Amino acid sequence: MINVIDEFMRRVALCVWAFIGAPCAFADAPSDLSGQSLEELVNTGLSTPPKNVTVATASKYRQDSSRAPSALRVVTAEDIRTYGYRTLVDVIRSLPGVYVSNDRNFINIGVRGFDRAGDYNSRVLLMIDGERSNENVYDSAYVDNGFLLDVDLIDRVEFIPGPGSAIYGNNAFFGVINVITKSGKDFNGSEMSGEYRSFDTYKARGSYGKRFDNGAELLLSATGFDRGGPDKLYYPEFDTPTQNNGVAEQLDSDRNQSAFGKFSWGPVTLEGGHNRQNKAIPTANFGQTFNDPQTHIENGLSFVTLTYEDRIAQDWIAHTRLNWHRYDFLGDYVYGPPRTVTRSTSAGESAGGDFQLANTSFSGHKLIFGVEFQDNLRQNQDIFMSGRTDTNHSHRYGIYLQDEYRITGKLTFTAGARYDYISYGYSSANPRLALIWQALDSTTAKLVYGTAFRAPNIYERYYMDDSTKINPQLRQEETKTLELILEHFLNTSTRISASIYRYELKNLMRLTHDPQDRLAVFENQGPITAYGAELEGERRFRNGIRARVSYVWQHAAYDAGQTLSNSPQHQAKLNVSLPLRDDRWRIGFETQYMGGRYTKDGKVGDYALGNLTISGDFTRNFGVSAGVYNLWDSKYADPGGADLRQDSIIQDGINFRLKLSLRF
Amino acid sequence: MLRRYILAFLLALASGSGTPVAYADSVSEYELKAALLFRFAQFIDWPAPVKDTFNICIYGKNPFGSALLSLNGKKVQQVPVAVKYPHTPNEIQDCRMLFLDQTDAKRLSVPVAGLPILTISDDPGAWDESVMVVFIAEPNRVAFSVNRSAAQSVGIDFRAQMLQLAYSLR
Repeated sequence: MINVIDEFMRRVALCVWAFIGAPCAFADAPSDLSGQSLEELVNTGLSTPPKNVTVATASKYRQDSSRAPSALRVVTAEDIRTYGYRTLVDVIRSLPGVYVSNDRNFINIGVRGFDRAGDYNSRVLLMIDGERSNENVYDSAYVDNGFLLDVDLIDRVEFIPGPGSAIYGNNAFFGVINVITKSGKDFNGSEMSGEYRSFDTYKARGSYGKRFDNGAELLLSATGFDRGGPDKLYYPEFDTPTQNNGVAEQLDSDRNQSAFGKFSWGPVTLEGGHNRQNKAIPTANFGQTFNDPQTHIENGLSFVTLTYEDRIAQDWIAHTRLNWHRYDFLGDYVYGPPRTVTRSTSAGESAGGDFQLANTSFSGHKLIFGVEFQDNLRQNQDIFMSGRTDTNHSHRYGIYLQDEYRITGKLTFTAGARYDYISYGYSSANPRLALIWQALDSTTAKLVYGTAFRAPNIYERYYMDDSTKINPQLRQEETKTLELILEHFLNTSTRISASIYRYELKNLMRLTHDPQDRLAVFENQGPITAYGAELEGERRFRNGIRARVSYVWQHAAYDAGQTLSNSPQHQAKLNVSLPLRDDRWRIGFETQYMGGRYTKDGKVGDYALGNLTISGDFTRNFGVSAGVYNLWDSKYADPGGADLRQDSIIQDGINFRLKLSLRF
Repeated sequence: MLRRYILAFLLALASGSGTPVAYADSVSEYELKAALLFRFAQFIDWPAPVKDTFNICIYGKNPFGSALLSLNGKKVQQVPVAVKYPHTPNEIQDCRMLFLDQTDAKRLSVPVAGLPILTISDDPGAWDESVMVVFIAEPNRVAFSVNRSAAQSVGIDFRAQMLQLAYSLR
């Protein structure tokens, strides 16, 4: 570990040196703006962090970030290119206080110290263009290659940490991720992109986008991805001669095909996507036979949405959406001897809508009122090894109201609440109150109180088989949060922010064993209290260098005393990018420090990762990106869930990617 | 290890803020917005020709600081630009471009109605008040949305290049 630390500190020292030395080394100042074309101007990078960023997720409408009733973070398409992000996972883990755990089966998101193995991200709401993308059987959210969108189609990702139920209802428990897609004009023609990565990985994408003269816009894109994976993965827990000495051979492959389309004309947008993933599992989870080549999972997601957004009368804006979603899952699990392959499947389908009206009739007030409805046409799950299927049909609705009241030019008070009803016996009302004080031109303070809930999903509520029983008393999870956020500009080019928060949670669901009948059952756990602090700094230099640094401290423990597993006390992140020649070429370097985490039976050590990417355009039509990930080959592991015999799962070492893009 | 990381963090910030901020050509948010305002004028057709000066007006609070001063005297359609700061609805009659926030857009919607004045704002809420051009502030860029139908209703139109670059188009 000492080596890793030293290595890491050397990297940090390098960056600090870059801070001091860089202005001398890269003294090329940008050219005078007055001679630049409109296209050059809209592509000009800012040498100062903007005071306000336009955001759409915190309140379900576009507003200045300084008036948004929450902490929030934005990752742009440019960040994705500069730092060589390969999937949404890379985007998410770059956010302060957010981390991921990969058990080579599913990637779980951790927010502010909460990363509960086996929740399949049901405590985070993942959206695409404001449309819920958690499926309706497990409420899971896929962020790796199972995610509906190719990362190259992302215009920006907005992340709202903390409870979001006051506006989004169920599952917006620890945070809301809204992925906003590019549109036709961002391509303005065709683009072909191909990439090769370590572990025998290939990806190809073809996209076409256009904005027509009448203002209509079209985007079509398709992606194929194939990863062979590491040839061998060693798990000492299975190191016996009959189990291939603990070596899983070529069992971490991952393939997916996805397609996305979007058409907009005036106030109407039609959008749809499909993704199908096929992933091998090397870990022999759920007590399977080790190193069997047939062990794998497949999942498919599809959606279509139709939205209408327009001013319908003086002071009235309507925002309406209709949606349809489909989900299917298939797992082939191998047991024996005698060798038997057990197929487990589940399927979901839903149709729904969201009708929202915004009103600005009252001076200083912006009111929104909305109704969301979802008919879960199908929520089916196989009963393991029985040949039977548990079929469900349910519905849910939510009613929400929010008022943004500008009391004075400097003081804004936002109050909102939402009531949710789920037809299989759950309902919840959740408020959010935010007082925002723009104390000075350079300083903003926000005080936010909010609650959130998560109802048991169909699996948690209804799954039963020979070894699992239903808990009819299973209650919904609830959280209450108080947060203070401060943002201050030290000077025009340096922004610092701090956030202090306290969470109270109760009834977190967990699969346990009833000692009397030895059956597995979901139980509500005792209360949890968490508190933490997030510090961030951003500095930009006039020569084009940009740097962001964050440190997060948090502590989450059961009120009975035990600290949560998979909950790092310390996290730190640093992102630096600098232009080469002109702004068309950039080097992006990021490093992430992750503190130690408790596992089921022990602890995984802290680690530091570094990634380095060079990207740019040779010509207008030919772009390239080359990146090295886990730069100093850090050996690190993520905690494993209850389905694993392993206490933790070792992650990939140093690897690289080369990506070429052709535009015509 | 943690202490060293915090130290590095503070050092990084300190070295950052200690660096002299004296580079001549910087592109701050409002310098860029000012440059965009001026550039827009070349891609917009007004129904009547300009008379003496091309008036760019900032109504209410001026977030540009001194960034607009450089536009004074530059020429649009062979006519010199004049930056003005009207305070009453009567003073906006001569404006070609009018920069305002959502509250003022709402307040001025009646006096501005029908006049061939291009309204511009960087308040996201102004989009809902049918302001014709609205800046979208991104973490590292400034984009803009265009409400073409609102502009056309008073005889203003945009050239294709500007429409092609707009973030949203209504």
